Amino acid sequence: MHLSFWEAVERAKTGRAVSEQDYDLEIFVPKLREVAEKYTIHYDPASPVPDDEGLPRRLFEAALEFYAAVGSYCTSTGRIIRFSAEEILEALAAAPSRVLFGEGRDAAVMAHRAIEDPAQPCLWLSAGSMPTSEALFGPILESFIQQPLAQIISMPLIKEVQGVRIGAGDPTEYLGATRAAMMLNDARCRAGRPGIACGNAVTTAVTAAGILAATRPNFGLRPTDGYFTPAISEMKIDMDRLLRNAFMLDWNANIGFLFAPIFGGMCGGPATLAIATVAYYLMGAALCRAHYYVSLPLHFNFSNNTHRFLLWAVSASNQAVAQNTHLVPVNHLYSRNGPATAKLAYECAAWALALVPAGGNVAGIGFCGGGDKHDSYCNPLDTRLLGEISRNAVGLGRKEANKLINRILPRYEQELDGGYDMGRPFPELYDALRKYPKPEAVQHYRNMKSELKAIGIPFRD
Amino acid sequence: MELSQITDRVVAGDKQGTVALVQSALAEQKASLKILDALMQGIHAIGEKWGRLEVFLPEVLMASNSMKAGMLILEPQLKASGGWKAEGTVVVGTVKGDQHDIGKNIVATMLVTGGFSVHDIGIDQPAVRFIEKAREVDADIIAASSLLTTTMQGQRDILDLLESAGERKRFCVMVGGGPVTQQWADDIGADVYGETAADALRLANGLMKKRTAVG
Repeated sequence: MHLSFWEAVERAKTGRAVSEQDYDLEIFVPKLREVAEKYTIHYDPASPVPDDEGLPRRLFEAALEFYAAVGSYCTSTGRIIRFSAEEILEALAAAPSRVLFGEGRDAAVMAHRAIEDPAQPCLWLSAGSMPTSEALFGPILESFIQQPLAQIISMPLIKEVQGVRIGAGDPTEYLGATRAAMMLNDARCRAGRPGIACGNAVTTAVTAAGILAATRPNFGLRPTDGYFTPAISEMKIDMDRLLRNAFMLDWNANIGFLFAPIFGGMCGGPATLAIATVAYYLMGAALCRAHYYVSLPLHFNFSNNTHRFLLWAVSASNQAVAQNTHLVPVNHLYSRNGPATAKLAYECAAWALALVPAGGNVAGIGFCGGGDKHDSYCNPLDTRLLGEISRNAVGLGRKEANKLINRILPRYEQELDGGYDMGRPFPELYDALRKYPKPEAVQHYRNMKSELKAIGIPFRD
Repeated sequence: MELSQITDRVVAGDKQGTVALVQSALAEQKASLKILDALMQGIHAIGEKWGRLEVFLPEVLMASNSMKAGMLILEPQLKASGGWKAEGTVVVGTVKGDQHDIGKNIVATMLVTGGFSVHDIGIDQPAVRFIEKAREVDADIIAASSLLTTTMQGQRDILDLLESAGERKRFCVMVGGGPVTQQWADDIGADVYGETAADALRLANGLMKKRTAVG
């Protein structure tokens, strides 16, 4: 039977009580490894875009058995929320296959895509939750919103308002969240796209109180923006997150279930990471009734997702979801290298090639450089390139995508574990007053597009 | 029994097996320092495997738990023989408002492999909790992790509280996490900053050298 959200919340209070470490080491890890073995899920480094026809089904079945067995751990109550396989499948069947973002002429639909789907992916093009100053928040947002390919954008993370440093869980969170909402609305009006959706409202709101505050009608956020219920790695949730989820369900807002399974952490290597990633989709459907699923598997050390084995896990998990559900996935690129660098362009190409033929929708670019540490390091033209590659990756089969990705990877993967190219911050690449790229930024974009075309990316424009 | 069996059990993450073998070794009157060495060899071996990504965090945690369980049995003998001292004592945690634990867990494990006595206070911890624990265990180092830009302030809070309590020089402070930079560490007055959790042991050793030199 289809469960209500409240039944799921009740299970957070009545489920089996266990310590967090026991959940991790006695339940989560052993079962994950068991199903990887049982369903013969193996990472193939030669095929970052796997084309084993049986893999998507095996991966889905592994994830279903895994999630039905381990459930989700509620850190607030110390109990496991479990669903039967039947309940999970019911939740999947009830989940939407299309999500409407935004309003009017700027409205966009993010939809379920099949493997090698001829339909275009939805393009969510921005700088993720990049930290920035109050002064640059608006110009950066406007510059991204102006990108014609951007169907959804993200708001950056504002670090200070009126000289007050924004924290989490205290009154400054209210200040940051509400001001960010106001400034977002201002930016989308100034950029001439008042209806465009923000997919990650509200970055500064770490707690439910922050989200509730920022969504007051006078601040301009809408139910057709996107709001995260973030999981806690791995496979965990707490009551504050469930509280915000309850609000968003009631408000009929777009709920994005956000998860960042960690390579090298409890999820282990690529094969088990892929299974856990698919299991997160099941968690989002069964527990949170999510509308879209924001998947960002990350490297435990560098917080990027462009290593070969991570691309494999992203591609494989998307294929499993594409073939066996009608959920709406979107995968966010977190790069190792910074704005307006050649290596970032290669990472974008690899990301799009791994994702688009696998049935994913595309989001990017969060510049990690080992964490969310570089204020205002972003370049809208990088996301334009990502968008163009993604659009032109439609029509590529997985085999073809594999050939191309194996030409791209050698251009950056050897240096991933060493340092990274910082790139340049927004004010060096864009005129913040006119919100227009500087000539060198335009030249870099053109150079990289030519280079990628010469490598074989099938740009049709 | 051979002491290498203890090493093998630690590498295998077999807590019960490790404890049983340590007890056997003690019963056979093997030298406590040699037993300790066997435990440490196990944790070093797993650390090296992790460095090569042959194993992942679960194996490292299970090995660490096995080693700690063995140490618990061994500790009275070690203290009696006076032959062993931890490299230093560290309080590790994630700051207030932050639920992320992987960085903290890696740091804690790295420090254990290096012979530090580690007290992990968990996630979402206010500054005052770091300091209370540091006082309680007479720590050398406070290591604070933050993975969100909006929670980094918690690291500054620790330094500010130490200053106002007149205890800034009593403890070294190490900071790290996704949004944390050297610039931030300098601004808040932290002693060291680790770009990755794997840097923790090298940095902690460096801090202990300075502390010992200062006396």
